[in-house]
Amino acid sequence: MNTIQPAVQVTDLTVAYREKPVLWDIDLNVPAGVLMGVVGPNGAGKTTLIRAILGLVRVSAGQALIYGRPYAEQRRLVAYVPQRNSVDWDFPTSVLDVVMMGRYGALGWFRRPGRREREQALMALERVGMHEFARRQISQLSGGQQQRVFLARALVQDAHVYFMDEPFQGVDATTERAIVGLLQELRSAGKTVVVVHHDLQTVPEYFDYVTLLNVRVVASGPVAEVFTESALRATYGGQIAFLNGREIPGRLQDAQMGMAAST
Amino acid sequence: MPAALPQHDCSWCGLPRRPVNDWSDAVTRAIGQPGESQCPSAGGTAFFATLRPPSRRRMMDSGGRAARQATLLVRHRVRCVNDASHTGFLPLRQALQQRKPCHRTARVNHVPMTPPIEIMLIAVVTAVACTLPGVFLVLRGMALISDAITHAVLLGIVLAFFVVQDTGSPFLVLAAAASGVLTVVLIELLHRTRLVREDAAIGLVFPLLFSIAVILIARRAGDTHLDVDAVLLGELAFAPFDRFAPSGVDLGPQALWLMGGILVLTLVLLALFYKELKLATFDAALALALGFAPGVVHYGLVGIVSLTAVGAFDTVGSVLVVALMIAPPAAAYLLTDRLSRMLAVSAGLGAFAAVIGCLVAFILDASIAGAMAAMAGLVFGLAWLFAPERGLLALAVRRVRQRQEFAQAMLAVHLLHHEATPQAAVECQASHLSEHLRWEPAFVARVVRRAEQQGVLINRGNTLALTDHGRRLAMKTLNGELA
Repeated sequence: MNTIQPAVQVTDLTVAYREKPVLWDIDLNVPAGVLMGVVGPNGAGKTTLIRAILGLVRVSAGQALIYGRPYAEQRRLVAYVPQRNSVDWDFPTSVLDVVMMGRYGALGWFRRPGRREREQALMALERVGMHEFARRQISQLSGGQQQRVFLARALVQDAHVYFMDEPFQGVDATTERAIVGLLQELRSAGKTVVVVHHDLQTVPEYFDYVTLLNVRVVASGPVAEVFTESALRATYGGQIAFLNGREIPGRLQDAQMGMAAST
Repeated sequence: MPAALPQHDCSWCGLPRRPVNDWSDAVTRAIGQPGESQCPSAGGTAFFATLRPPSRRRMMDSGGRAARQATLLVRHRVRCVNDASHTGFLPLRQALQQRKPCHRTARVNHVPMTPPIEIMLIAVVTAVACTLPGVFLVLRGMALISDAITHAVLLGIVLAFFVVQDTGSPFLVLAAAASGVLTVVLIELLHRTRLVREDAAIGLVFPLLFSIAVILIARRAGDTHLDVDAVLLGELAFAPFDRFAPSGVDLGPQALWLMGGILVLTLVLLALFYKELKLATFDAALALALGFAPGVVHYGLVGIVSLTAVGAFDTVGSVLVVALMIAPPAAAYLLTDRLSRMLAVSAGLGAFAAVIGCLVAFILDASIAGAMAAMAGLVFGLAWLFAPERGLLALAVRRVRQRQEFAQAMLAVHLLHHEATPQAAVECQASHLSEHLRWEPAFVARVVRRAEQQGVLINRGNTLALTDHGRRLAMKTLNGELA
């Protein structure tokens, strides 16, 4: 892959629901091979940004390119992990089956998954430590296990760019560590990972790039450069508890607990 | 036997008439009281059936198979069996009031298979064809949509019938199916305005389309084939009388061919798009992201549901189609945990309900479609109660067991707390537990007995002491490993 070309390039992207802008004129570059967190308050449009890049919502203006081409031409290069609660976990299917769905894109229409897909899925499950759950009905999984199954489904896609929507939501600390380890592993393998994230505290530890989003992009770049108190204030409207050890928040009592809740 | 009747097409509906076969006399005799022996427009033999079928005994008197067929005929209240070219027609109600024959085509040559077997075959094929798309309706939370579609296709049937004048035409089937798809489009458009909720949108659209169809039938199409009763409930008993006989060779009932064709089409599509259907149903967002056009899958499913609804119209009617589409899949959902098995089990349950329903209907001499739908409901009820893992009974048993296990854990924690403390003598006495833990004495006795059996504690003459195993259980509980 061309390393100079950004993995994801978003230009002038505006998304509106009934003339109410959810994302305003977003310009965003995600360099190839980085692990980027997307943070912002509730309703900042984090999920919508990912969905717009993947063509899941209609955009009012602008475009998003994956390695220089529209997403529709680059589907094979992209894996998407939606929020865990976006599907019905009572659906009659097994863990292995769900993971194999990650291969459907490569299979295309009509072709059915076979032994190769099964083996790939088992390997992906092994990587997320869910190997022994392969034959389980998905309704029997805990929240963290569900998340890991979704992650395995993305891994099996063998993509270059991964989009993950709140992979740590409702996940216990151990699972969170395991997932972060996997994401960093992906980055080391040269993949690009974009993660919608809620917990500001862990941003410097987990990610090397960060985008601060609140309808517009407030700041985007390497964590060391853009993850500053002033940028966070601009993003969260001043009422934020910033906890980094170095920078002490001015108005801790105003902290939005949900935003800054620790693990 | 009325011989050498003129053979010509009905000027109104365009259907070819064929000479009445040899059992028509027996039929007429069995039914008796031909209200008017002459069809007013063409002079053929016409008869009225009484509103109630003749008694079983009378049927037997007039002899075997013909009599049986006569019962089937009788259920269709007013019938003109004979070949006649009707110039006019009367709405059913009016016909009944005036006791005039209402026009109905009877293309009867001969009935090679005995009707009950054919009826059962049609019932089974219809049921299976309904359950397969039904599985996806249930999983996608679209059960109500099936109700909307099955009603709204009537408008398509009526309008198409005005154009082609033939109820058996494939064009009519397709046009009617298209009206089902249109209904869903209308519902979604209405819902998308965000002025009404989805359930309200469904409730607004289909009764409107259905009522237009009902009015049109009442005004323009008194032909019994389109009478409102038959539309709601169908009449499987008559299905064997409409034969599929290209170039004069009888190949079986038309309904069997129609439903069989729809079933085969459904199976082929299911085999081709199984993966896509599964993905679009489980995770539409991923399906869209992977380029699988879940919208196309959605409307494909809606199209198949509509087609099935049209096909099943004649046999089970628009209300009972819903029962066959929803009840067996809903039961299978409780019995299986894989999509493929859910499909197979629903098909099996649907076929089972069809066969048993037919038998019950034959025995009770009642509506076949009604009996089938009732059986489908019964099958669901049984699954709901007795499904091994998800049934009501299994849940209740599990809840009792969990309560017991939790009580046991609580007891263990309680004993651990007071172990080797000065209060131990009081707190750990079996006879005081009910007072301390505020449990019913009987419940305490049960919990203690169970705990003792499982080696959690030992009862040393009224004082309870934890075993090592019990201590571990208590620790585990406190660490939240049990919760």
